[in-house]
Amino acid sequence: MSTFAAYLKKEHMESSRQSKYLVLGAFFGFFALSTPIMLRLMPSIIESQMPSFPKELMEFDAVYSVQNYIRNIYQLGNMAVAFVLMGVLADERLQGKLVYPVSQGASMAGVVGAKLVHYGVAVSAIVFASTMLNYYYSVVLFPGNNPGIAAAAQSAGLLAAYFATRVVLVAFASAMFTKPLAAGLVALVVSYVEPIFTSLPRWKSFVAYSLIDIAGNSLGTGSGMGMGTGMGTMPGAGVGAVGGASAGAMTAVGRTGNEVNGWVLAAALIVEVAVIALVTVWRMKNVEIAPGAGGQ
Amino acid sequence: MLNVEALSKSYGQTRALRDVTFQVTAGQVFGFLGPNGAGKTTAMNIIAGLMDFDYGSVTIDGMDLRRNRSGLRGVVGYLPESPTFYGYMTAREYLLFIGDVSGIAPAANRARADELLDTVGLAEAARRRIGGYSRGMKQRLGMAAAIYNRPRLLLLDEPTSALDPEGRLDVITLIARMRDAGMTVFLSTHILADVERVCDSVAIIKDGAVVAADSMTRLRERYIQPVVDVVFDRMLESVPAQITSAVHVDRVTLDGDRMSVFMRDLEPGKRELLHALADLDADVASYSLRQPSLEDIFVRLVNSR
Repeated sequence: MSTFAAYLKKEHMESSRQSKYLVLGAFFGFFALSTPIMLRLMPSIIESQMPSFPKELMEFDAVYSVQNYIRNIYQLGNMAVAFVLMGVLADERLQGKLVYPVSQGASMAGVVGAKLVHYGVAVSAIVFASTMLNYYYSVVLFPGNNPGIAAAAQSAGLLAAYFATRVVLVAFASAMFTKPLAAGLVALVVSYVEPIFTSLPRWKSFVAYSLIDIAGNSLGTGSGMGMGTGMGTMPGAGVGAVGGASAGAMTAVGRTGNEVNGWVLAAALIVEVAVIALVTVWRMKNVEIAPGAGGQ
Repeated sequence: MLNVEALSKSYGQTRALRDVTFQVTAGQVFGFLGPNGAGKTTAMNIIAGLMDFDYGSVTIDGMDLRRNRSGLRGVVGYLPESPTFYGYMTAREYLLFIGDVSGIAPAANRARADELLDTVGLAEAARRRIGGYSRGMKQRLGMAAAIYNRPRLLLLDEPTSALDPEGRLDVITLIARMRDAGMTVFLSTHILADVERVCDSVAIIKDGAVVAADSMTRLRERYIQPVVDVVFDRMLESVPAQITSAVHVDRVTLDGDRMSVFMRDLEPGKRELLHALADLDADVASYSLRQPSLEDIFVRLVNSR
């Protein structure tokens, strides 16, 4: 317990002093603010470029705005989390920073547990807050079809839970690879490949990406164009949550509907996260942590 | 205290340690010497429980390292050659963090941090971020972190290499104080003068294998050179015939007023030389058996095989 508490304190100090909170907060906050603003400006931009473009396709509402944010932040947020946290364990090992704590009796389960809890909570809180910020500005800029604060909070919670699973994934990759960049890229590839499994009915209830699906669906039906705001597109169109629009107006979010069993998904993710965390601890217990050992 | 038996470790095709065997008695300062790349740091990383090994055994305080890895953490303190810290912390914050990890109560932790910062001469820089420290300051902080929870076995890898002469002396004095307090110190260093000053026993390692391991006294006795240096009150023009003709004398060199007599057999040679000097009409200012320095022994062992 002493290791867990000591590392929790240390990670908080590190994130504050190395501006990790600021970087993640600014990143998610920027897109939370810029997505509805871009969407609001889009009709004017398109009208000036294509005067004959049908105006009815450019009538957005708050639901669509928040769904658009979820779509963008899935792709970009994964990058931010992977690149900010890719060295969370690899750096400690490679640079010999674990030598003193471990030789003084630190437990590896405490070290890994503190990092997962700290970054899981921090990233989830930032994602939740930024999604609610996005909801607020979406409602301000697009009066009318308001998804409601409860639905928005539910979506924000699901998005936060999704990114908490990404923290565990990045930490796992960081324990497996000596080079932080390799860890970040592997975690990113896994996150981007995962949506493929949501197209397989049997797998849908077992992959974290379904949280993104449900987060979009729970907001209700939005209206807007299927082409997005230009700030990001879903990987593998047609696989993602917010696809499903023809060239015309987009109706509803997600072609998947609510086919995912929430309880099964929650249980599956808890088990997956626990297994990944245990393997991470096992790996860190068995890996050589002497300075430069990873390079040998 | 520490028993290393046939310890072996390879990195791919390279054998870093080959059947390394030595013992360290409790309460001793044990010097671990060897040229660069001899395997000293690998051996220390293994003993510190930070690295696995291929075969052999390491026993600390009667406990097998492999079977009691987690139980032995905290028994062993380790100062690596280039200690790394969290650069955004201050020295005091880092030591408090180490104390927190060790489970020391907050009040005792603060007192211990302040005591050690004072001991290693970092009290004034205690609230500066470690990222701005010089290498010598980091070495001192590393020393404080290594002894934070009063380990029974302290492993020091080149603890004085980054220090100025005054700092070196401080560290050597600190090592001696720790020995006096009952701690066993395992010291790896290139600075042989430091070893001579503070070590009770040494092991010399070359190409991953131990070439000598003994107490300093026995090592000196074993590698004593059969040479007697005689200094006269006045310059000699030539080597006296009585000395060159002595049965047990191999050869004699003359350098001003100093004559060095190399013996074939030391014990009878010394007696024979004293008789020959008594017969000479020359005033002898000093007569001494040449003492081998650790450097002589080290060079001889490292170059001999």
